[in-house]
Parts: sequence; C-alpha cells; structure tokens
Amino acid sequence: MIESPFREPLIIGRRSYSRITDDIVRHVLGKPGAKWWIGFIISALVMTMGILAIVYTIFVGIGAWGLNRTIGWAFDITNFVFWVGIGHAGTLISAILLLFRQHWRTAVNRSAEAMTIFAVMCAGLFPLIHMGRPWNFFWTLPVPNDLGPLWQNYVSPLMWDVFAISTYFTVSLVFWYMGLIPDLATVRDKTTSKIGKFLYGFFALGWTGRAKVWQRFETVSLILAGLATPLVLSVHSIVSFDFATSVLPGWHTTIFPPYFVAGAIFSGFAMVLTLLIIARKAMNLESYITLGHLDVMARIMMATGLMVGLAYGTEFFMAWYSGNPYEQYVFLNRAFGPYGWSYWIMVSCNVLIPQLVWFKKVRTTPWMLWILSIFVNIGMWFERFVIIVTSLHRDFLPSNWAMYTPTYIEWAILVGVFGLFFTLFFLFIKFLPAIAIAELKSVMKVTQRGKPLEAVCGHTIPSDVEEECRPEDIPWAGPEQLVESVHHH
Amino acid sequence: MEALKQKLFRKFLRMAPCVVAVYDDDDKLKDALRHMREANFEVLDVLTPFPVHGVDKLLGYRHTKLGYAAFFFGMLGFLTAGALQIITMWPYWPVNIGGKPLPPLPAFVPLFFELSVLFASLGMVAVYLLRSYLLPGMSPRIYHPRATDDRFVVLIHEGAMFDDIKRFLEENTKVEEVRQDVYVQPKGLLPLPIDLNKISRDDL
Repeated sequence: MIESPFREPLIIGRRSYSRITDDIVRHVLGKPGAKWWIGFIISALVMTMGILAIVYTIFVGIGAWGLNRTIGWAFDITNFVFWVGIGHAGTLISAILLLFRQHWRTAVNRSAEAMTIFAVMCAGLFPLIHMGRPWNFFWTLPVPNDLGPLWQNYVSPLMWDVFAISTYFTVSLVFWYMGLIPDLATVRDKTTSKIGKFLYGFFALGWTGRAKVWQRFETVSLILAGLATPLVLSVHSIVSFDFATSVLPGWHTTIFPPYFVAGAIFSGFAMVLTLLIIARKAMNLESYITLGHLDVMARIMMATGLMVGLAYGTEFFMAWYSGNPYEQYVFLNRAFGPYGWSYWIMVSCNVLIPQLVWFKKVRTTPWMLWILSIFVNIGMWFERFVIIVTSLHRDFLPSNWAMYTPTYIEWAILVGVFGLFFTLFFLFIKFLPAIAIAELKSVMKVTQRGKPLEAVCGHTIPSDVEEECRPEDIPWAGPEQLVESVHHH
Repeated sequence: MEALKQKLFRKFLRMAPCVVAVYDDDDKLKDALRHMREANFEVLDVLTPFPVHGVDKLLGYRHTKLGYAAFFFGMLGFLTAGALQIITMWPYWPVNIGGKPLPPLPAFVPLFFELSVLFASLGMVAVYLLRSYLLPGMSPRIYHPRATDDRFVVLIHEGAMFDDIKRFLEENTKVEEVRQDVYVQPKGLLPLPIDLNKISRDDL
C-alpha cells in the first residue's frame, strides 16, 4: 500500500485494535445518555403525529389532501422522490467507493447505509398511502390472481418503480447486514448481559472470523458492490422515467435520468453530513469521522451540486432551443409564475449557497457545513416540488389551470416522516455499532505509520487523544515503518 | 445415550485435538504463519477480528468460487424476468400500447436488469451463508474471548506433539499464549442444538 505523506490520516490519534472496538461498542453496551433520550422522544412524538395523519388519510381518503383534478401529484410524490434520493449517498459510499478503493469510506459507510435503508423505507411509504387503498398494495406484485391471465402492465414506469425500489431496498439491506455480521459477533463477545448475548449471538449467525470465511466475505462484498453500483444508478433513473415518459412539458426531457441521479447523490450527501456532524460530536467519534471525512464528503456534495446546477441551466436552454412554445412557457412559468418563489428557493439552496464549499474554512468547520447541508436538504426537496407541481398546474389547456395548496394533513405527513427517519436512526446508533469496526481495523495500519500527525493533517489533534496514548497502544507496523522513516529523513 | 451423542458428534462435526496459538498483532500472525508453513504444521483454522490480507495465500486457500454462484443466480433472474414479462404481456393478455410491436422488448429492459441484480445478490449471499455455516442461532465455539476484538488465533493440529509445537512457536514467533484445545467445526448444514463450547477433549 503506497500512501502519500500529504494525505490526512483516516484516524486521528494513536489507536490500538481494542481501543477501536471499545470506542464504538461502548455506545451499544452502555446506557443511552440524556441527549439520546431527548432526541429519541422528540423524534418518536413527531413520528406519532405523522402516523396519525396517515391513519386519517387512509380513513378519509386522498380527499384529505390538497390535490385536485389538475394537480394529482404534489407533496406525496415530492416526498417519495426526495427520500429515494436521500438513500443514494449511502449506496455511493458503500458500493461505488468500495470499487474505487476509497479507504475513508470505512468510517462512514455503516451509518450511511443505515440511512439509505431508513430513507427507502420512508420513500416506500408514500406511493403506498397515495394508492388510497393501501391494503391492495399487493396488486402491484406479480402474484397469481383470480382475474384469469391479467397481470401487471410491465410497460409502465410505475411498475418498473415497484421492482426498482424493492430490489434496491432488499439489496441494500442484505449488503448492510452482511457487513454487520462480524461486528454483531464482536458485540456478542463483549457484552455481559444474557439477553444481549443471545440476541447479538442469534443475528451474528455463529460468526467466528475464520480465514476462509473472511476471504469469502471480501469477495461477496466486492460482488455486491459491483451489483449495487449500477442498481443505484438505475433506481433514480427509473424514478425519473415516471416523469420523463409522459408527454407533459417540463417532464418530457431526456436529461432526466442523469439529472435525477446527480441530484439524488447531492441531497444524499447533504443528509449524511446533517446526521454525521451531529453523531460524531454526540458520540465522541471525532477521531474516526474526522474533519478530513467531512471535507471529502463536502467536495462530493459540491461536485454533484454543480452537475445539478448545470442541469437547471440545460433545461432552460433546451426549452428555448427546442422552439416548442409549451416547453418555453412552462420554464418561464416555473421561474416567474405563481410558484416562482419555490423555483428561487431551489436555485439559491442548490446552486448559490453550496458555492461556499469552495472555501476550505467552510469544508472543515462542522457547524458551517451543517447549516449548509440543511440548506441543500431544503433546496433538494423544493427541486422535486418545482418539477412536479409547476409542470402540472398549467398544462396545454388554460381551462385546466389550477393552484395547489397543501392541507395541514400533508404537512403533518411531511414532518412526521422525518420523525420516522430520525427515530430509526436513533435506534440504530443505540443498538448497532455505528461504525464498521472490522473494516476500520483493516485500514488502521494503512493510515497511521508513525508520522507527525500535526505536520500531515494541518489541523491540531485534540489533547485528550494525545494523553490517552500509551506505548502499548502503538501498533507494530512491520518493516514498512522502518523503510518509511528512512525515507522521511 | 453417551454412544449416541458420540455418533452425532462424528456425523455433524469435524473434531480434532488442536493447539491454540494466540497473537496480538496481524503482522506477528502473518510472520508466524510463514514459520508454520515452513515447519509443515497442519493449520486447521485462523480466526481474526478483521480480514487480514495475505492470510488466505499463506494458508494456501484457493480463490472462492462465489462469483460463479452470483452469475448463475443472475442468469436465473434474467430468465425469470423474461418469462414473467413476455408470457404475461404477450400470450396471456396482449395490450396494444400506441401500436408498438409485441412483445414490447425495449420496455422490458428495466425489469430484466432489476431481477438479475436481485437474484444474483440474494442467491450469492445465501450460498455464502450456507457454505460458511452462518445460520441464525448457531452457537460457535469460542477459542479466545477476544478473537473478535484484538487477538489473532491460529488453530494447529496437535498430533500428540504439544510440547514440540509449543517450543517451536515460542522460539520462532511472537506468540502470546499457547494451549491445548479441541477443534470443532460443523460439517453439516443443520444448525446443531448443542453448544459447541461444551465439547471437551474427552469427547474426541
């Protein structure tokens, strides 16, 4: 492994293998603190509000929402596309960065994948309640039925969506669980409680870390990453087909698949930053999820954000260049019509504000990055709102034109699903190792070979890390250490 | 009863007297494995808390064939997608959509892809879990309580030469601990209702 001395180390401070285990397993074994309880209870209450609103919708029907004959898709599908998009960052970190051998992913992949799974769960909820009769959801699945030879219409993008989202969810869950098995075994061997030993042992599937099984594990991870990489690109492409295969101006564009995928990764990284900047602080994981990690993720967010900005420009250009008056009208109406405010929120949050990421100060200051990520989250939600509502509300026939106002039930569902997402995330960081312990250990020596850390990483190391460093904590790095120190002098 | 127990053990478990050698670092482990290979030790297994690169080569393991399983199940998914879409939308209930030809193959591409990926992932992971005897409720034999934390364990076939092995390891490798134990590894797919940790050298 060749390592540039100019790269920041992945783990700040000296760590032994057992110290890594303890730092991460501590949160699983210990009792949650007051901060965890406050966060969890607030999230659970917000979730309860969302559940009540959903139950009300199911009893009353879709009439509980502000939809009308012109605008049949609004908040609900906006939320659906938003949450599917959030999931994409997790798969990018866990699969695509594995294929690219990006070692920094080891500190963030577990929580990002968890976020993916929870986000897809949130997303899946929306088409379900939008059906109006959610108990008939199995009509979307190819199950033998009593209607003779009538099956689903596989030519419809909505049908493709069913398969894409459920495949995405299943594969992400399997990938996540696969990586969790060794760490569950670590918790099983660490915990002293009987219930914990049984439960973690049950889900650890009898893992012992045999060399042959590790060899298979690595191959399986690599192949799963290879399968998940095109999968994640296909999912948001197919979501975009829901719009692009229609004949509605503003939706009917070939740019949609890449535009949606870039937007998905953009919003997903914003959400990863939102969660991890808080989690690293609350769980004292700053040595593992370092400022370097935040910096890299901010750069990816920036790159995808620029692609999104380019797509906004391309859309406008193509509307003008196509010479199609309907297309031209829709885009002028988007920016300067009655929903123009939402368009400008989108542009400011997604294109203008993220330009601050060019400054290193912003990339390496957690609170600045956190505020920025919130703006991107808001902006990306509005992007979907703009695409869906402004395209629908004025179509070819002016007598069809209408306005859409969400009801308080729709607001409650929007906010409530955030509650569901955060509740699941709080449960995850309490009951499961939030960082992939085994994977982190496997990159530990790659990243710290007796180098002056301050000289390398440019920011000072917290003093508590230095004091706790004992000589026996320093791992023996093998002959490479000697070779490298010779090179240094 | 005792005879039956012995018979079951023999049927479902591979058991052998073994020497447990514990190391506290992965580089020491790899160094020790090199010495063991030169001394022609029969290494039964190596347990590590994380994938240590190069161990599989030192043990002479061949590359895993799980990729073939993924390919097989992927093809199965591809054929399933074809059967599902073509049969239901062509002979069963042909629908004229915009006068497009039947079967509408280009529109089937997304499902061909999704089902191939789904089958390949699930099938490969199932084969991996079954082949490695990783099943819910399995109770593994724990050779060292910190083998999933920071200790690296080598299980060597004893062959009634414990003292020789011990001396060799202490002289040539940076071993932390050497002791006698029983190597127990399931060889059947059924999850065994016995606690593998209760097996002692008397059961051999």
